[in-house]
Amino acid sequence: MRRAVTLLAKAGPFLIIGGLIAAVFVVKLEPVVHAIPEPALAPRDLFFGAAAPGDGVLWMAGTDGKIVRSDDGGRTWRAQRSGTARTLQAIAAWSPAQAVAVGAGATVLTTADGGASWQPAAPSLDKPHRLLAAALAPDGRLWVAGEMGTLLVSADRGHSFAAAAEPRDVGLNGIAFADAARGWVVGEFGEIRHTVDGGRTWTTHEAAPRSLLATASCSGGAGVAVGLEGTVLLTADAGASWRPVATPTREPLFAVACADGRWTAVGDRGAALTGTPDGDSAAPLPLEGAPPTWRAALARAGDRLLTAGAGAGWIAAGRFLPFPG
Amino acid sequence: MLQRIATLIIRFRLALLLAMAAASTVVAWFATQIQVRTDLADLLPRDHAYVAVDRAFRTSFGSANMVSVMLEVRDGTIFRADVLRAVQGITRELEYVKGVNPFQINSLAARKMVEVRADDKGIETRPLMWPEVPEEGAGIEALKRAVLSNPLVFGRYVSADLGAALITADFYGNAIDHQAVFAQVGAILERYTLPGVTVHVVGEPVLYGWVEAHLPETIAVFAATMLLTAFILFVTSRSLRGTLLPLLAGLASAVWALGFARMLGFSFDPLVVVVAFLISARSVSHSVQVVAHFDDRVLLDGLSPPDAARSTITDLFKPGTLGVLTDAGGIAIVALTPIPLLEKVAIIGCIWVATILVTSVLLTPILLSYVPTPVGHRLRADVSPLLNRLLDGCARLALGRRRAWVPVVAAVIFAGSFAYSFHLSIGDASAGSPILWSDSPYNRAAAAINARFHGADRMFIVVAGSEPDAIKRPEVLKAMRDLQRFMEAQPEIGATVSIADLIPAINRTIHEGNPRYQDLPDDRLAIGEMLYFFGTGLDASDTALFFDAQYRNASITAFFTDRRGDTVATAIGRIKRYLAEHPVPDVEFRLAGGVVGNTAAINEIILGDQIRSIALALLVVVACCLLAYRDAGSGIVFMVPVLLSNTVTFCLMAAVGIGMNINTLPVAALGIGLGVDYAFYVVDRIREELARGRGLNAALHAALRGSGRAVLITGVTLCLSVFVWSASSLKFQAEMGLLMGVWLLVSATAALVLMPALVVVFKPAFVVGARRSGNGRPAADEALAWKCAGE
Repeated sequence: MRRAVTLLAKAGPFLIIGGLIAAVFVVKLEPVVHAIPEPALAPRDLFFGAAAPGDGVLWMAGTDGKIVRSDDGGRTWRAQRSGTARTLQAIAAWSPAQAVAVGAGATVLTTADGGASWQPAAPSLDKPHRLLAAALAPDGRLWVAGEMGTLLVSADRGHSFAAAAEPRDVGLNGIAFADAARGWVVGEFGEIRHTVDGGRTWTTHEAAPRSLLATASCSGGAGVAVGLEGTVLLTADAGASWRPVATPTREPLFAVACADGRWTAVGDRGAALTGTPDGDSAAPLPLEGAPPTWRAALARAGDRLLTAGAGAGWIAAGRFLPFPG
Repeated sequence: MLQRIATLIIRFRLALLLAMAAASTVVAWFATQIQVRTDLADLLPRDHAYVAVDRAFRTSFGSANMVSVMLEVRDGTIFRADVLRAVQGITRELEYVKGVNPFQINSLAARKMVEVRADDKGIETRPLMWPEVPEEGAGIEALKRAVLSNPLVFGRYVSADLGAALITADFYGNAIDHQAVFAQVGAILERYTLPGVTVHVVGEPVLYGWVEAHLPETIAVFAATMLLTAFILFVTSRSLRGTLLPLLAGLASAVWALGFARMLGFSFDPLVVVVAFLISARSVSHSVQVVAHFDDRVLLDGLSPPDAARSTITDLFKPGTLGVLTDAGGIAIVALTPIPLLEKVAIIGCIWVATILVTSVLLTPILLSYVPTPVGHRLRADVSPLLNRLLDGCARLALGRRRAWVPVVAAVIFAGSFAYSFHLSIGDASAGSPILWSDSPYNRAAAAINARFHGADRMFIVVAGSEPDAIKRPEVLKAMRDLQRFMEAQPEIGATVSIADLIPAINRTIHEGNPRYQDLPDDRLAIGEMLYFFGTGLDASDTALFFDAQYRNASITAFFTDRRGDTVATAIGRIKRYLAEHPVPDVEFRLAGGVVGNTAAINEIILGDQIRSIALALLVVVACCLLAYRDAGSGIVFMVPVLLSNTVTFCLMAAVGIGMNINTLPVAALGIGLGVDYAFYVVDRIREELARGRGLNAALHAALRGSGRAVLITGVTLCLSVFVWSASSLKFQAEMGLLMGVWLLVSATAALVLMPALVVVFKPAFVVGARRSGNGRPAADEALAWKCAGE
């Protein structure tokens, strides 16, 4: 025992010295790297589509195939796996469980489980055109419009599509239906078409002076279309006739929605307008707290409007309330 | 042998003194020529991959030497004719600042800030606000609209709330004159003061300009410290020799070191003043030991001053040299860190420490030999009884029943501080510059810019293609975009920008400004066309910030809101891991340029060397002890205070929030060595007393009242003196003052409390074994050794 202790006492210093020499040559510290989860709403995100199917459920879709969903009216958001990196241009929802998103490269994605999984659907198109708008008709059919005159209809919630128009070199930017039979599409170079037979035949109107970028259906056959240079057109007969109204802005308007007897449009550089479907002018909508950026999507949720674009938030009582990101 | 040398020294003392005076005069002349400035190139590690990338690409992708000026409008927006004219004026005048890279001055008013327009004829680019500032009204409104839809300007050179404008200017790296840049930029901004507009300036050249502007204050603080030191030394020693000789030793050391530095062509970094003070403090400490020993010899043993001086040289040679050698070794290890500034600091430091051998170990005793007998006191008030009570208490503790508790308590402190020291951050520990206080104008400006913009500190990644046109490939652009998205998840990265953001913006423009087309095309030809149109009307130097003329290399620039060690390490680590998981064929992503890239390189070097440096510092102690005592165990005993000093230092740095960076590293390396200096004197004195045949009890008391007293005096003196530093305008100096205070405390406590207890409890052979030669009783000694081993 005593021997062992002596040995240790004698060897100890050399062991320590040996350890130090080893440390000089062997030990090299590496920095600790923390994992950082990607935020559901990132500053880089641009959203082009928004849907609010009720029960506090909100969906937004946009760049890089991003789809986000909130179940609590926008307080918290979760990113969903879309399986694509293409730009999604529109999202429409039948219910908090069933929805469809469309976008660049003829992308169509559907979900029946609230977005837990998104399945790609393949509309038959001659080329993978960019799909720009999606709208649900009151009979539950899904209408999709896009580049090169693409107009598609689906009666099975986005699984299969039928072409509803011949291809033409004009982009269709917006589509809306007043009821199962009557609807209209708007697009590039002031293109307007309307149908009274549920989309079997379409009547093309004389072109509006500017490209139209979005449209919405209000109640009782009233509707509104918006476009470049602050253009606002109104219809009272489900798209059969249109009249322009005076607008206070020259900014392009990218989205429009109807709620509670008023329409609201948003556009570039913070532009926001409002008016009534039977009025003859548009008034600027003050949006206190809104950054001077563009917004390209609107969705009605109760007495508020969800708006999305470069940044997203609520429009409520003349204020803009950004979502926490 | 030693005695013979000591005799010779005293015999030729006059000649030696004259020689030293002559040599000092020569080096003093050199010392006055020393240049005080920071060479930013000296801060960059040699042969580090990040630094190589930075050097290769900084002239185009943005250098670390960037100055950012922010004009902040208190009410309203910058879209006012006077503010816009100020932006233009500052942008133009910055071109004439010394050392500026005229191709890399960016702002709303720069020619390269273009608006891309599309109409039937195609797309064209034209400058937003060059050469003229628009008149009031419609022109300004049009400019505002153009800015709002321009991702290169909006959010980057004009804040997202339109309330602030940013102007950035790059400086060529090497011979940048911070004082000149600081003064010239300041003068320009002076000319453009506007009512209701606040101006903020940040950037490395400005930061070091501030540091250099504080130099007179730094020197004043240094002088105040010296005066306070002199005063306390006089109170404790009550004699001129006890006051002036240590100060003279410190001064001579400083003169010699600075003179040699000038001869070697080094400039003197103002932040290294702290290191200078530390070494001077060492010189003072050694000298106080010498004076104390001399006093003992004269007053206790009744020797004449020349004899006492000779005896002092002999007796203190070993602990003095040991202390100097371990200090020199500690600072020499810093030179192994391949950063030029640290190499220079290490070389100057080594020389400086070595001069202590001449000034304290030689000069002080020689001067003491001239002290007239009888040796007396100049001050009636005597603090000796107080000091002696304290020192006797230390001796009683070491000899008493509770002595075994001392090492136990030390072990507990060691374990606790060791565990906590893992919180030490490598790199800066706080946002803004850690050199300055958080409420300093510079750090307030940095905070203001970070609040309005995405972040003032930049890093660039080079996307290097294997052939020309590589960056026109859609998959490359998408990979860049995905990496940017990944990087931006980190909260401290405010934004990233690259050509992968530029293309979608152009794509949108050619689609009637419709944001639904703000994405990357799948088509290489379309991308090529967009780049071609973007480039028309611009020089290669204007697009160089994003890609080179062959479309082979592109940059991803990230804006950081802070440069904390953790932020930078996390960013780099995440990017590396991501790139390993997402390789892109024929393209290499190379890290990392810009000021954050440089910081990352420095931090990686420091972190990688940390363990090696500590291990080497301990080995230096062991080697010196082996040399002095020819006993491996002696090294282990002296390792104890060094280890303790290390962990307590790291622990304190972590607790106070001082990061281990390029400025603190040399101070810490040197300071840690401080932990053992005092221990050498005390333990060696115990050994010496035992060798003279005294008992352990008497030896301990004598050692503590002799060497211990000097330890206590210098410890208290320097500890109080560095309090002056807390008044410094440089937070760095205040923090280093605090650190120094703690080192002195740890060091003094270790020497006065821990070391005597260790000697008594463990009876290390190299101390107690010395009795053998003293009283010739090897048998008893053997027994003692056994007892020690058995305990």
